[in-house]
Formats: sequence, structure tokens, C-alpha cells
Amino acid sequence: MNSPSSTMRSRRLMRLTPGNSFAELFDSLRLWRLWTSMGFTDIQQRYRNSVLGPIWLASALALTIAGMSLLYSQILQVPFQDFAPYLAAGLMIWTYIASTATESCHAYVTAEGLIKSLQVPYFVYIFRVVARNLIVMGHNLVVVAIIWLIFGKFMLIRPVESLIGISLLILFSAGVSAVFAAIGAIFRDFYQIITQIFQILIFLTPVFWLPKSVGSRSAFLHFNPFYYMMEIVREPLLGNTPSSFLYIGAVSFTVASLIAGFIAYAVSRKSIVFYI
Amino acid sequence: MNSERLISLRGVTVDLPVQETRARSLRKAALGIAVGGVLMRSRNDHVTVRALSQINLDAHHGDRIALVGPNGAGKSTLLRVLAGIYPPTQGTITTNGVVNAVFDSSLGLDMNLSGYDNIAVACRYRGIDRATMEGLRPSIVEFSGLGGFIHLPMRTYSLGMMARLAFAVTTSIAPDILVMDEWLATGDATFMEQAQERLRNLVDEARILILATHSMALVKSLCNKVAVLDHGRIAYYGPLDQLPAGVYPPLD
Repeated sequence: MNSPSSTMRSRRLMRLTPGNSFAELFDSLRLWRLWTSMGFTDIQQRYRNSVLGPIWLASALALTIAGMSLLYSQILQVPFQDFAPYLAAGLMIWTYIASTATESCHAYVTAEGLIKSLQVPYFVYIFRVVARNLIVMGHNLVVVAIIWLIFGKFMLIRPVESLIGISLLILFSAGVSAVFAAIGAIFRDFYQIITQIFQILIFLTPVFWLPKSVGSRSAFLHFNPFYYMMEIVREPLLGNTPSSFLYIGAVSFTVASLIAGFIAYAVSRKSIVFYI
Repeated sequence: MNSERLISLRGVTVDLPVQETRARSLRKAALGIAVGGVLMRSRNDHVTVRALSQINLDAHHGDRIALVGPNGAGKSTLLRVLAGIYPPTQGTITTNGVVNAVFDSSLGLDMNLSGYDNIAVACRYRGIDRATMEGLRPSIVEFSGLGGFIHLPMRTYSLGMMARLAFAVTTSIAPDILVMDEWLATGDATFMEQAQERLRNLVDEARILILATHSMALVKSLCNKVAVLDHGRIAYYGPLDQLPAGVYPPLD
């Protein structure tokens, strides 16, 4: 006997049976409105009562690009008008990669109140970090686009390949996020470690320098997943088609990261609530 | 009356690990490796608290269960197990239907948004689509009795006002199983009256209410069953009127 009003019901969000991480993944994807709005709210919170708000994000990037381009185009003996768009794209992509990775370490910890009171699958908290950083990247894209316009690179953008690259990057970072969120909730030192590692990685990944400066066989490039992820997005944005070698590397690292992320989620899922 | 079993707990035990920062740092895990252990070895040294022990509990349509017991008896832990937030360390829980749990009147909401906007947030957290939410909102606003305050940021609300809003949202969503912790008692007399009326109606629509409380008046006016928890065990579970003397003294 069901009452009429029980037809109007909320979806059952959390699966209680163990081993249902797949179901939780699909439930979380269906809840896209929730995590996108959480991402937007996070940014609003960060810049509440600030006059310029998220424009601060973009202005920080603009200043870095201006200063670094002047210096590095001389060090590397590359024309300024070529280096500025290259650096702009690279910094935008790196900012996304690094801040998604570091913020993920706190994805569960900062959601403690929600995790302990709502039946929401935890993937939502991972997607929220990814969504938040994509929104930041959207702000930064405006600056980068202006730089491309100034130096006449805007018309060179290859839209299809750029979209493929960005999609792979998003998937890759979602996998990394799931791994870091799980470890970061259980080992609180992990956030510090990741922050420091990424401070070094920005110099080991071709952001301020060109891949050809170290030769194409350098271990700095081949064993660095961020090199592939960087190139498959940056190259099409600058009007080049990435080589199939780059795509093979990027797809492999993306698949590996998604598998690792899923395993980390499934393994940690039942413990997280007790550790935060 | 449908007596289909909606909640079934079998031998549910919950151990809560006691957090200690050193145990959770990588340093300790790394030391564990150095002496030849495995990465998670430090876990073995963890102190755990058995919050619930071998709980068996069945609830059927129309049950209004009061969860009573002294502080630290495991009431909140049991509510969190029922809500699917704490997975049992041992045992199984089967729930059939939508569970909606409210542990505190803030609902996990954004204190900088107005009560009006937070109704949308709360619904989104509970997987309710926008159209349904818009349909529910006027009645939620009305039942909350907040009037013009509904458009002010929630950080300006008193505890009682938040409780009103939380209660209005939770009961409007109409779950099959409604799980509520202590916070309800923060409302004023008028509100308590309305709230009890509404809860009775909810349960009349063949739903389950599980309420943790210390207020015997509330238990007597709302509930037909009582579960007495003591040190993580169920000391009594059954009809309120058959509660043996001495199991939970305040009821006398």
C-alpha cells in the first residue's frame, strides 16, 4: 500500500551494498547539476566580498605571463610573440593540472559535514574539485585568448583536436583526483607532499621551456605523464597536430589514471567516513 | 496495513577508529615499512571504539520508533548506519525505500545564501530535480513560518529558525524512512505542536519515523515503539507500552 505522495520521491543516492562503486559512479554522473553548482559556489565563496572577484585569478595569470615571457624569450632566444602564447597556454593547463591534484587531497576532508550527514556518493566530491578547477580554467582561458588575439595566434586554434585533448585531460585529472582524495583523507601529510612535488614538477614539465631544448628522448619527457597531457592540449591550441606518439602516451596515462582512481575509490569507500 | 519489512539490521556492529594524528601520518606508515611490515600496518595499533554491537532491528510500515538512551549509547551512530552513512563493520543492513536523514538543522547548507535559495540546495543534495523542487518550495516556505526572513542569509537565523526550515524541507521531501536526530527540540512551543502534527501525518501515510531524543514527552506523543540503547547494545526494542520497568528509568 503506497500513498499517492510516495510517488514523488527523491532518488536513492547511496547504495548500501558493498562493491557498488560502479553504481555510485553512474549515480554521481547523473548528479552533474549538484557538483557543477558546488564548484560554482566554491568559487563564489573564495571571492566573497572581493571587488574584482574571480578576475583576480585571471589577472594573476596575465601578470605571470607578461613577466615570464619577457625573461624567458630572451633566455631561450625565442621570439617574444611566439613565446608569450606558448607560455600562456602552458600555464593555463598547468594551473588546472596542479591545483586539481593538490586540492583533491582535501576533497573528502573539506566535505566532512556533507559526508557525515548526506547520502551522496563520494564521486560527487571528486567531480566537484574537477568542476571547480575547470571553471577557473574558463576564467584563465579569457586571458589566454586575449594573448592569442594580440599575437595573431587565435585563428590557428584547431578546435576538434583541442576538444579531444581537453577531454582526455579532464578524464586523466578525474582519475588522479580520486586517488589523491582517498590517500589524502587517510594520510593528512599527503597534501603537503603533493604540493611540494607539484612545485618541482612545473619545472620538470615543459611549461617554461620547450620540449626540443632537452632533446626528444629525454627521460624528463618520456616518463612524465604531465608532458603528454600538456602537449595534447597545448599543441592544438597553438595550431599544431600532436604526434601519434603523444596521443598514445596520453591515452595510456588516462586509462591508467582512471583505473587507479576507480580502484582507490572502491578500496577506500567504506573507510573514508571514519577518517575524516 | 502493510507490514512489509522496510528496514532490517542483522548483527550490525560498528567500530569507530579513534583518530590520532600520528597514526595517520605517512611517517608512521613509512616506519612500518622499515621494520618489515606492510603499509597499513599502523592500522593494527589503532584504538577503536565499539559504538554498536550486534544490533538486530526490524522496522515496518507505520513504525514510529524512538531511539533513547544515555549520552554515548550509540544513538547517533545507529541513525547514521540507518541512513547509509556509516557502513557496518560487521553485519548487514537492508533498507527498502528512500531514507532521508537530518542530523542537524543546518542541513549542510550554505550559510551565506538565503533560506529560500537553500531550499534549492537542500533538494539538490537529495537528488530532487528542479521542477519538483519549485513545486515544493511554496509549501516549504509557508510551513517554515519564517515570513520575510526566508530571503535573508541563513547566517542571520537563530537555531530555532534553522530547525524550522530544516524540518519543513525534510518532511516535504516525503521519504519512506525519516531519520531525525535530537535537533528538533530547538523549536518553540507553537512549532513543536505543528511539527508533531506533521510527523503524525507522515507516519499515517505508511512511512517510518526514527527519532533519537531525550524528551520523553516527545516520545510519548509521537512514537509507538521504543528502542533503548545502552553501551551500543539494544536493551529493549518493542512497543512503547510494553517497556519493562527499569530498562530506561526516565520513561516511568
